[in-house]
Amino acid sequence: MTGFDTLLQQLLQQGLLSTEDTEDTAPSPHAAPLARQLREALLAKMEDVYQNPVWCPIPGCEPAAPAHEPTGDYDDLFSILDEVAPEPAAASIDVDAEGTARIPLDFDTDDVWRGQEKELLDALNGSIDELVYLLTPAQLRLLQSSPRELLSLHPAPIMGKLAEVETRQHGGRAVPVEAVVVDLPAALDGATHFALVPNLTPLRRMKRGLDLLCDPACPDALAPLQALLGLSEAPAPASPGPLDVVLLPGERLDADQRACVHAVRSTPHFALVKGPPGSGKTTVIRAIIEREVRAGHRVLVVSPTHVAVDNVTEKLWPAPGADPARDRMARHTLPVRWASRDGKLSAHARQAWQSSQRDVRATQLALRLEDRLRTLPALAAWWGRLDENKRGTAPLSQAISDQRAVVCGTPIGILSAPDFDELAPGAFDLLIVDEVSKLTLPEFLAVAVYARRWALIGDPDQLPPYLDAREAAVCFADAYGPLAELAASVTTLIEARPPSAKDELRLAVVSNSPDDAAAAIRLQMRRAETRAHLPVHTLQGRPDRLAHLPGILVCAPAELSKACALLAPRERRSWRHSGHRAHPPGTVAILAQRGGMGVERPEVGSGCRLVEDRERAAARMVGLSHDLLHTLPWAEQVGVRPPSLGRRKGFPKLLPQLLEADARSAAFDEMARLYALLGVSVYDWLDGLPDAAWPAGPLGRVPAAMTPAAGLRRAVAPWALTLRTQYRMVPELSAVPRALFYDGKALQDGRRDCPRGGARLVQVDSDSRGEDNREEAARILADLDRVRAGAVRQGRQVEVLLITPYRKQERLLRAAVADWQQATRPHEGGGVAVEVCTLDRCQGREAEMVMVSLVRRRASAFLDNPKRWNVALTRARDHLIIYGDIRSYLRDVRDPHATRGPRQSVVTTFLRAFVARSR
Amino acid sequence: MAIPHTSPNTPTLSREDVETLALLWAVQQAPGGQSAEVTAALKLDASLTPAVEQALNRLARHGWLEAGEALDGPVRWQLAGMGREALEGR
Repeated sequence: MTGFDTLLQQLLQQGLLSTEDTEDTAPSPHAAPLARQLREALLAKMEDVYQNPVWCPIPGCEPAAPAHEPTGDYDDLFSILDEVAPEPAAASIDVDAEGTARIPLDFDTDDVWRGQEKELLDALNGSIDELVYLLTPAQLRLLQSSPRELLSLHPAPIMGKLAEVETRQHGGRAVPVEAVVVDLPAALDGATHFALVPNLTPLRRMKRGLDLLCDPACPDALAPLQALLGLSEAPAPASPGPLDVVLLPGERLDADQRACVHAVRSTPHFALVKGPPGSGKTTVIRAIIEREVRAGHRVLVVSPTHVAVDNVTEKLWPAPGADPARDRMARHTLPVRWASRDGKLSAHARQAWQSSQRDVRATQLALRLEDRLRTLPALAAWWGRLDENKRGTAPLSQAISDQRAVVCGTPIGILSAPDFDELAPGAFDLLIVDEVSKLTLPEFLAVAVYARRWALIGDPDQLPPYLDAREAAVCFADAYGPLAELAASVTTLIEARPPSAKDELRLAVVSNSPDDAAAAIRLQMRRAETRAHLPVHTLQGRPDRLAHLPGILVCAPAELSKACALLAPRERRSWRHSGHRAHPPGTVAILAQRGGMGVERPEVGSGCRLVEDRERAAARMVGLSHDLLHTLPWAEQVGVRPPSLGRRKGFPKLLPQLLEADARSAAFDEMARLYALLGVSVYDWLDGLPDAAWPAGPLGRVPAAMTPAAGLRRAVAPWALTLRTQYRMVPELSAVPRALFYDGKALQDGRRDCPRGGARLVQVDSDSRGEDNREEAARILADLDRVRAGAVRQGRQVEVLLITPYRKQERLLRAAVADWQQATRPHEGGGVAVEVCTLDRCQGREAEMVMVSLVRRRASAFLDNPKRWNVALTRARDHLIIYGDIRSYLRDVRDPHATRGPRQSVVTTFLRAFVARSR
Repeated sequence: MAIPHTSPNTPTLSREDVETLALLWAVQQAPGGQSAEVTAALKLDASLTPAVEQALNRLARHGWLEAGEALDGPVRWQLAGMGREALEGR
């Protein structure tokens, strides 16, 4: 701790400085276990954000020589504030007139101690649109020691918004080298470091929503939301009554769609609409909105993806260039597309864009009104004299712009909007959630408190909520307890290694109680039946027996360097060149007990690596549970055993086995509740999880953890409907997903036209073992040439969507397609419009032709997920082409006659289904 | 709100001027002076009547319109002196 930190602590203790503690930690006495646990999880996430700042020096902005070194000898509060105040330094960054600057970054990615390039890049990419700080050296010290104080500092450090991150390839990895920051002040005096300040607003809003629901004075209208958490009784069962949906002029809805519109309009609380791909979810949403707005209601529409939000916006807002005479310009066709920036919006949806700083929608509405009024002959002369340069507040277009009956956005975008600060609970009559299968309960509750009825629309057989295992594990650590978590993380690390390498682990474990920790690790290894012959010692025991040999050495924080020196091999190979394995032979892995214990980098040079949070027991347990939850019911229904299910045999190694039976059972219940809150979609909360033979342990207790919603499920059942007919795919394409993912019960064919189409499997031989495949990319480009030639011949545009599981292949395809498009001459009569995206980002998109690049020759755990593939296989309207080592996948079937079904991956299963159908 | 420069000698108008004149003209066309009639005169969708009413209120605050007596029915808008002058001066 520096003298600066010491004084800061002293001043805090003396009451001369105060911290702004907005997240008090006392659980509400009224909260049920679920609500209490959710509150603790949100607080743990916020604390994690505070504890893991991301920062780097700005090259060319080295700090000026300090007027005085921080000695820790401060007379009063003012001297410390002088140090924290901006220091003049030779800033060499130019800020343009609009407040934009390109800021070079210098992340130390060669530093293996903290060099986690992927996490860093993810953090940066995930922070686009969010605040970044440009700090002085003293402010950086404050960020490192007391981040909360930095966030409440007055005057605040220099801030801007991150708009873009430039990367370059370094050692085969993308490394951030420059940030484009907007909304900056004119001068950046004193700034020497760049720091990310993640947007805490959504987490705070989630907690605010939860606090509201736990408050005894919570409005009655929100009682159904309270029932989800067991905070109030479920509503009494009722009935939607007879169908009462009259079609509007020009409207076409099938029987299921009409029933769904009726269910949403008539429900006193929730309605659930299950909509498989192409079944007209957006059409139903539009029909609901139109009727709600005609009834004078306000509607909030949210979806976790920008694509889905844009789809709804586009359905309401007339297409650019639409005939003014046919532009109804009614209240329901004036949605607000709320987003902090427009970078991710479609060109069409951008016309309805509004943010706290820009209002494109208002400008567009003024132009649409002008188009409309120009058709009145009496007004023509005035419009003829219009001068756009003359300013003023146009009374009618402004009043129309103020009509915000429909607001659309992502939950994060909506929750970050300043307008929502002042919004009363239940301000909207209806909340429509699209793609609800991706939304967790806390994410839903944060926006749901602004409405009085809730329509949840989506498909539980498509992508589940995104679960950041590392972030979720932060919440799970408490369920394990610090010593049990440490011991379970040791067995997790051993389990993750291949059988031949288990006995080669060199692990330094840091604990404040080395003897207790060593005993806990031995007990855990015995009870988890770890198949590794690794001795466990402390430095106080007989460490010499471990000298330069594999094993586990438990030490106090101050002894870490000594422990690492002892464990390191006598002749160390250069680990940097030994591939991408996390802990190559010769590396000493360092595992620290959780609980605020800082670990300094050991003074033994390279060859040591801190175990990352995502490698620890709780993170692995959360990740594996998430995979199982979404694969096991499908595998049992289809009658196959994907290889990834075999991973559940490692489950006991991830659990705190050293706890005695009662404590373990309580811990499992706590984990099950946490997982249900953070990993299960709100759709499944209201519809129930599918039945399956869940493994014993926390995952097996998840259905029981969701029992508070059981009464609500009975009340909601009459308003839960399915759209059974699909209008996207030709019959040749819908048959396989209908049989594999919908048990034949949905995805009935509704297309009336019958163009030629179907699925084709293209064998591509390749030696590729990584996450990109040049041979597949080349074959795809060759086929694009043929598609383009056909499109030109027919004089029409063909939309092609390229889908691949991996970001690396996505980048490769993007670059290849860009080169291909430059090389091909544009043709007025026809051509090909190509879009590239990953499996996880293709939901909500569709195209006439879809090409899937499998990349790998065998399915990994990531690929062995049926919900991912259901999305990919249902994007094509007419043609689906799958590229890869098809023969290798088709052969990869083990135990074909086993009573529990053959052992084959999800990819093999659907490829075999396509082959069987083609015969 | 600025006074619209409606003299034939004024070559150009702002969007504020044109929309103000359009609303005044529509009030003149609405026999009962009700917002719904003004909306219809402008050939706008009936669902936009609340927006038209909001705009008419704004014009009334600036002296272009007067709101007629309406104890139990919708407001009846009529042109104020300034509004009539503006329309006549076009």
